[in-house]
Amino acid sequence: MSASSAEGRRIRAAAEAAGWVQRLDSDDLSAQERGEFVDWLRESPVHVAEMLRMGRLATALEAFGDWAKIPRSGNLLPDVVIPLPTHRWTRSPAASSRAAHRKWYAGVAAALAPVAVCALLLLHQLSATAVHTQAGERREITLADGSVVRLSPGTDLTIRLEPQVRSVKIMRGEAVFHVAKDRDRPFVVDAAGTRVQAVGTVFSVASNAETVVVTVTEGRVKVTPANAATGNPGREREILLDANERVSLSAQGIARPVRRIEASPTLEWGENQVVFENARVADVVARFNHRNRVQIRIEDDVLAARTVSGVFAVDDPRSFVEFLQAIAGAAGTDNGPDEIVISATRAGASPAASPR
Amino acid sequence: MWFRELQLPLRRFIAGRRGIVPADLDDVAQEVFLRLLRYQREELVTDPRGYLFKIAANVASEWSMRARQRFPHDSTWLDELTDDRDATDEMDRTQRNAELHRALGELPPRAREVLRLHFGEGLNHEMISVRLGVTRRIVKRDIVQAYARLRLALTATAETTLQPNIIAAAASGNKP
Repeated sequence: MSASSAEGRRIRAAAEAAGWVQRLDSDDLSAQERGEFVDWLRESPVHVAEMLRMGRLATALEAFGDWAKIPRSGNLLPDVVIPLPTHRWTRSPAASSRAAHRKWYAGVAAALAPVAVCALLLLHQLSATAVHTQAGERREITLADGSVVRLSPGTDLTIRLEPQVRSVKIMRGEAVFHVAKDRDRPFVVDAAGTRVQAVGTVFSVASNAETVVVTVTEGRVKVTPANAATGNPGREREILLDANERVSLSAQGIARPVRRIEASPTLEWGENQVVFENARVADVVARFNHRNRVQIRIEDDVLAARTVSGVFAVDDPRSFVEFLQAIAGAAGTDNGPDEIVISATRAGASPAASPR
Repeated sequence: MWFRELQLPLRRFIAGRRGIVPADLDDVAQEVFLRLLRYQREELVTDPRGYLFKIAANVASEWSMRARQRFPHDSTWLDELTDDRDATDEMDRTQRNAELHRALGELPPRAREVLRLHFGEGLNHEMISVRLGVTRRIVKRDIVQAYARLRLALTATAETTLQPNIIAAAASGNKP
């Protein structure tokens, strides 16, 4: 047998085994897929061997302790642990290599909070930390108190941890806050003058020039509209927002009615469900394109000018393409892996529609 | 994760510990393959991964027993099979980490980041897609690519040059 053909067979088998690893890892396989897996394994001892090698690789990856030292590229920087001293502290020589093999960074703030927080606060309470994300970039920040802030793309905010209060100011964009419980130190988010206060809860705040949207997924927050906060403090019109409730406020502090929202697992991982009410298709597309690598291009001006309403998962451009296809009979075609072109609206489709 | 069901003897075995030379893995695979053929297809289909790991664990144990009879003086060998902590394998692991480190460095950045989020932070594919702002399809493609590339990148070193070093290191560490 020729060495090169044996080698080629190995490489092919390795790629196929990698495919099975991914499928085994991501979903429960259907009966048919399990059958295919069995057939594949029984095709050749090389397949069995490659599967075992994948097991060895996965075991090694799981035990791998040096993720923090692996280089990362510019656009992919989701993790910033604000208190750098915590970071170094865990990597001091005293930390045994066994400890290093634990996934310490996964829960570094949580694990060390009781010990390290006091010292860290002294170091960090006085200076605000500014954080930005660019288009397409998401970022997660673990604060010294164990709270986690997830920034959507295109967000600017500052974080300041003080002895009496934990405060965040959103200049623009959107963030989800998983607030660590601390009854004595409220967590306050300020967006365009609107104040959102929580003790220990999960909520998101989205802000642009005109509107602030607050959504609570867990616990309860107190929302103070802009005019109330800056005007007469004795007569604040506070809004108490419970889990699965959302309120939008204008920059002038006028609150729209509180709405119930569907609890959604994705909400917890970033505000992916975005509500559009009578929004132009072109604007919705801009929102999708802002968030995703896959870009949608509308070639039909009539369609681009139409308005739609609905809740869309903005991390899933294909879902919106399917929606447009359904309501307007538009044709979506892939132009390479990163672009979907939408063309040719069918005449006479209904002028407004809602996906739900 | 998918390989969690790997039983300890098998984990140790395929992790390349204790002087098991690479040829042995192919031999074990050959034996596993033959045993898989003896089962009814319908039976295997109920839980192919479980059967694969169970059969491989049995074969690996038998292999280990044989190896032990060949080297009866190496008394720590069997004890370690039942000891989940790998205190004696620090060098082995350090070296494996170094190899992995290098191989990871050669992956495309996003594939590397996907692996980091998966293994380092324990995120599942959906969480990774949300975190990176890419579709789940891209995450899946990156994972397949990462595994396949790492597997090939590590072959040359892990199974030819690295392996003897591990054996030597483990052997010297064994005799104080």
